[in-house]
Amino acid sequence: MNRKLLSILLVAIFTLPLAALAQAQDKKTYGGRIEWHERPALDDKGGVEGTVVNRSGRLPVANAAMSLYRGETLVLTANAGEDGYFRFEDLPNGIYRMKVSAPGFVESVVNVTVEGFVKDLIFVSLVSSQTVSDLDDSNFAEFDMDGSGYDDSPSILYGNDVYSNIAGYDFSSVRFKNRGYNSETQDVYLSGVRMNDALTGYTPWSLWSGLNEAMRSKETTIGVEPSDYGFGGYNGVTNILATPSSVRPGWRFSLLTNSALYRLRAMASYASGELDNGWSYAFNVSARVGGNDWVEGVYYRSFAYYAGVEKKFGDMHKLGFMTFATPGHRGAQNASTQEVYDLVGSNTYNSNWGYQNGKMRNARVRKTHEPVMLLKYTVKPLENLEATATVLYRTGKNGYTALDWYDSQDPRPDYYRYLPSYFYMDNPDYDRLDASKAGWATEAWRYNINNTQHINWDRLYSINNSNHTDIGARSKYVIEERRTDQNDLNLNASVKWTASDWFTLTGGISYKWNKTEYYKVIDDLLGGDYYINIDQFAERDYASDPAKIQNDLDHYLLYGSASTLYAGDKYGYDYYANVRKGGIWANGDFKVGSFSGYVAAEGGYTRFWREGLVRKGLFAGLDDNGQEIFSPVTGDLLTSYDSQGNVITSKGRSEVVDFFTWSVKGGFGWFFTGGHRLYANVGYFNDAPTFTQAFVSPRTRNTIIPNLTTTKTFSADLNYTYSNNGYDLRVTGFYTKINDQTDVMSFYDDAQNSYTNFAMSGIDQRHMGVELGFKIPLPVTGLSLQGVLSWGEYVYTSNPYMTQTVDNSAEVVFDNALVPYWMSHPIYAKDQDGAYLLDDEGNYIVEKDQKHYVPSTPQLAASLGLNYRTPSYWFFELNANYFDKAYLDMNPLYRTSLAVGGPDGYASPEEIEYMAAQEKFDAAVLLNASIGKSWYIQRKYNFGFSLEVKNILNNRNVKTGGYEQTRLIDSANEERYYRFDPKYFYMSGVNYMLNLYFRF
Amino acid sequence: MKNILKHITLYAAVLAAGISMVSCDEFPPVNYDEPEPFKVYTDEDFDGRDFITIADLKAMYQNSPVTTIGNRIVKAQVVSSDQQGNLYRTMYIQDETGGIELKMGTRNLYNEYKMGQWVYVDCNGLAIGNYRGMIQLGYPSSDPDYETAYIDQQYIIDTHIFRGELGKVEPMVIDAKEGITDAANLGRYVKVEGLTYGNRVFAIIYDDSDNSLYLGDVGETCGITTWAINETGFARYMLTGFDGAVPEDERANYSPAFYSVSQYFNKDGVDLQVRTSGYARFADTAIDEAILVGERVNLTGILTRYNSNNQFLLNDLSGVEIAE
Repeated sequence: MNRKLLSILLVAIFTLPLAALAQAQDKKTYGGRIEWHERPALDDKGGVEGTVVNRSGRLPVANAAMSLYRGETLVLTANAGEDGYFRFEDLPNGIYRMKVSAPGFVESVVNVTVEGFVKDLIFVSLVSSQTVSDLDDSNFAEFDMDGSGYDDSPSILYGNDVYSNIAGYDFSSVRFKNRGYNSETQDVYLSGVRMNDALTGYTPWSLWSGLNEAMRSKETTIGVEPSDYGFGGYNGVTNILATPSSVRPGWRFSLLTNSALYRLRAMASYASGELDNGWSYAFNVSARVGGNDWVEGVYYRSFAYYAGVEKKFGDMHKLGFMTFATPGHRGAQNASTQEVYDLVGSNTYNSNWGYQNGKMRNARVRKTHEPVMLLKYTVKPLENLEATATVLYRTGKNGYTALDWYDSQDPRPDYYRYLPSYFYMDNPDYDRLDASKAGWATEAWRYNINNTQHINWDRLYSINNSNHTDIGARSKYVIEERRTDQNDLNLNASVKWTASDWFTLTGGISYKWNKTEYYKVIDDLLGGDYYINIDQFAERDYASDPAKIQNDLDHYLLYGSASTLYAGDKYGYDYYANVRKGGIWANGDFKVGSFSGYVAAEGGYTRFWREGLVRKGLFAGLDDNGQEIFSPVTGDLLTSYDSQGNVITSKGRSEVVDFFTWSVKGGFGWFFTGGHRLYANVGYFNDAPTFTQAFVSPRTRNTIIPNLTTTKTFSADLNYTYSNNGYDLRVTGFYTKINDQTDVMSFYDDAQNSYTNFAMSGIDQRHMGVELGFKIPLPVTGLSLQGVLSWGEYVYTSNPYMTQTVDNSAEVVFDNALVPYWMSHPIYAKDQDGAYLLDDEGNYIVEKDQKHYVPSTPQLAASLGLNYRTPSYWFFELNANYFDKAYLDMNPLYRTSLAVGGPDGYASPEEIEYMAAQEKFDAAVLLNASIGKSWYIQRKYNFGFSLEVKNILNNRNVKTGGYEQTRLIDSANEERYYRFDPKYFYMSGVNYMLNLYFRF
Repeated sequence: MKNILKHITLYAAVLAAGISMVSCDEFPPVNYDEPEPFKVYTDEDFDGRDFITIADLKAMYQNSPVTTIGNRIVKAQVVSSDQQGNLYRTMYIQDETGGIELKMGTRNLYNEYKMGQWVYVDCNGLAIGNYRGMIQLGYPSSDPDYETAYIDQQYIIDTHIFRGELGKVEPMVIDAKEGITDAANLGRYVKVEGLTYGNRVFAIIYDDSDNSLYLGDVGETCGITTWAINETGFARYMLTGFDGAVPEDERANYSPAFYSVSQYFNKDGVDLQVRTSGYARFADTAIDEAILVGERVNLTGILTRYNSNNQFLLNDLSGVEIAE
């Protein structure tokens, strides 16, 4: 398969230039429409042509609405073409005013003199109406979800339409997910190569965050719409151009300080633009450093670099090379329970750090340096044919530190046994009755006595130092660094062929080769001299057989002991994830008069497997000769088998999983005169699961989850837009049904003394809703009213199956068991006193089924604002946001019959309503304002600032996410279970961002 | 041009101001200095305080828990270790006058309280109580079933238990049976010499419906040749149904679990039960064959009592030696 794809690609690369021998035509075709309002005279005529582009990136703005006035008389209205090009001929000589507007851009007026020929204006540039929107991954705190089993990958909504422009920025503060979709459904391309992570599918914004200038030029589609770069899914395509010629020419310096993310960002960039000799080059560097005013311990020490060079050979060939990376450290924020937040008196408390000799130290630090290199070749053999071939390689290190400890107390300050609620609960059924100890704990927490609120580094060092052994001090606490080091090679080729005025064909092929090593290393021994490579979680259960507790059994069999670890040594788990992905797609676009449409299809092939590099004692498998392995100590059989009789292996290759997938989509639309457009899209998608969704416990074994299959999605939307005379409007209705999703959650369970994994399959969801975005000019020049609304219902529509395993045990806790309360739970009828009612047969009466919702995003989000711009480049903006219908992430355990039934196995209505319920977050209102001004000096220098104040009402009770802990508490009477408290992330209170820039 | 320079100067000034606004604390250092080790408390830290011996402290207990010990300091040495898991959430301390169980309540105590290390216990606010014949020092209990509670909470520990210097501790040698029954020796670190294996166990196992079975009542040792029973050992013993103690048709009703076992030893006609937790690391370690066949053995550990039974707690297997 690999070879075939490779050869196709090579053939494409080499034959395209040959095919390009034909000369390009010199006249562009104008694909827009003109409606004449005044018949032109036929003498002394001329015309005007040009391309509408966005000012920041010189990217064409498609279908811009244009009106041409002569004096007060409207001569014509028109739309520029898809490529931004417009050409009006047969105009009588004279002076005209041309108004140009496009969704998401500030309306611009250009004076044109027509004098006997078709004057080429070259570019008519529009300024994005969103002035502060400098949105990237660093707008999102690094949420520490590790050990919880949940994922929180931000999705960033970009777009040039009125809805995405406003929603993308205003809603990012609550980690809004457009239409409720996961991050992996959003396709992000860089220079034409799909960048979504090969293992998780997530959008890897962090690879280029901080390179805002180099990455500013983007082309986006929304929802099901296809793009020129790829087939896309149902959640839009963003293509970041990243080529030097797409970076705005000149020098740019900016300095940004803000109080909710990091203290300071300094950035510089330069781009040459396309020089006469065909070269263009650009660079961008930045540093983001410091902490913020709201979350202690969180910090950035991130740098970023980008360099690109591009050469145009004649009119036909273009070759570019770009490389970039964002090396640095980023301290993470942890979630805590409400009890902890209340004790500390802050909802933005972070438990990840402590003082070490008076210096703040965060235990959870993301340490990355993942350079990306790409070589891009573009050929335009004919005016109507363009082809590109790209090779992109991503490599480097991605580490995430965490505390690891061996046979010692949990070092996390907010561990549940350290909290007042562990000693006393009002409800005596919890059997936590010691109010006095709870009082001590409360006092220690509230007044931070002995640094109760923080990690006690001094104590960890003292314990390590004092643990003397013959070969030095054996560390009980260390900092481990969990590494996910990718090698990701992408080959991509695409073609765009404008076959005729009414038909354009785009298509491409892609191939991805990914080999990622997952392992961990000792980052810091915290004052000790060494650590030992054993599975401490298995030690209690298998103390009498040291072979079973080995992380590296082969080493043990060879040397008779586990390896002694020093800083930098690998330990624990070590395996490769291998992913191969190939795809081919095509999209036919047609346009007849005001009618346009497209049909697109994609075929794909995904193949992946795990390759264990160490043999774990608990899952020894067979030796290199295929023989069973026995413990040298006890003589017991170490090789273990699953319920189907297959050997459970940790070392070597897993079964290879492969999927053929296919997807289709289509759409059509009408342009009506006067700026109205109506269009609809529909698609059916078949997506392979990702590597991280496929293994029950990838850290320890090769076992693949049962029922692994492709996710099937149907999605459709209907849209209406209006754009004219400064008015912008979009209304969309959408419906999406997602079936057969799988998910693996993994978290540390101290009751099991180990990591436990929930592998779920058969998760179905339905997303439907409406989107509205509008901008209305008000009677005062420069003042407009703008707003967005996203209102949907995103629900689960199936009860999935779940397999639970524990890393330190071969036993399967739940084996493909139904999770019966996942999609909903019954609400029972009660009388006035709250007693449950019975029907005639003595059964409880179900009043209704309470739906469970797709979590972690408001399903109702709205924004309304005033925007005012003066001709002297001042701007003011004030907006109010409203968020509601956001829900907490659910864990599958609380929705099982076991959890609902309690130790006695009987599920009472009260237990069901308590255990299976999903928490809904409170609605929130936010108020934001911004102000900015830019000065032009000698038309060459541009200096300006923008100041934004967010959350002016200082609302500190806005939950942006969180998760349920996957633990149960036995009740005193042993009839039921109670839940552990959930953990939350909260939004920052009032915060500012000041940006100063200087450009020339 | 002047104008531009002015702007650039202004810009630079703002930049400089911006950088200086960022305090040093916000650029976390990559390297951190090693912190100071734990403070080592000495007698000087308790100048002017009343010290009380363990014997006197234990004597305060009459028939009910004492929660008003008063402003007294106990200075004692740690004589137990939970490293091997035979002790859980508790430790024993002793001075020249006697030993007592200190119900710390936290786990992995050996990391912070080393064998032989001196500790100072501020008894103010703590309680002494009796559990089945053993006097314990702990926190006042809110549970009527127990006379003392685990101290457990770190702030209480930080204000009541203070680590002193490291030290060495030698076991008190007991070579006569009277030493085993002497209440003054309870809670002490001792070496009992010249014991022989008693060919008898005491252990209770439970089936999946929570019905209990007293193994010692059915057979003498029920085939149990390990110090205790962990899950692995349980599965192995159940192959024979504990030497037939569990009828064949009932064996399927038992799931592997961890069980404590009291292995009987004898000193001149006095029984001493060596009680070992199923969670001890050495639970599934076989007792030396020589011991089982009757060689004389010396045991080092903590002398305890459960009701009228003399019991013995091993810190680890180095406390078991076959007598010369």
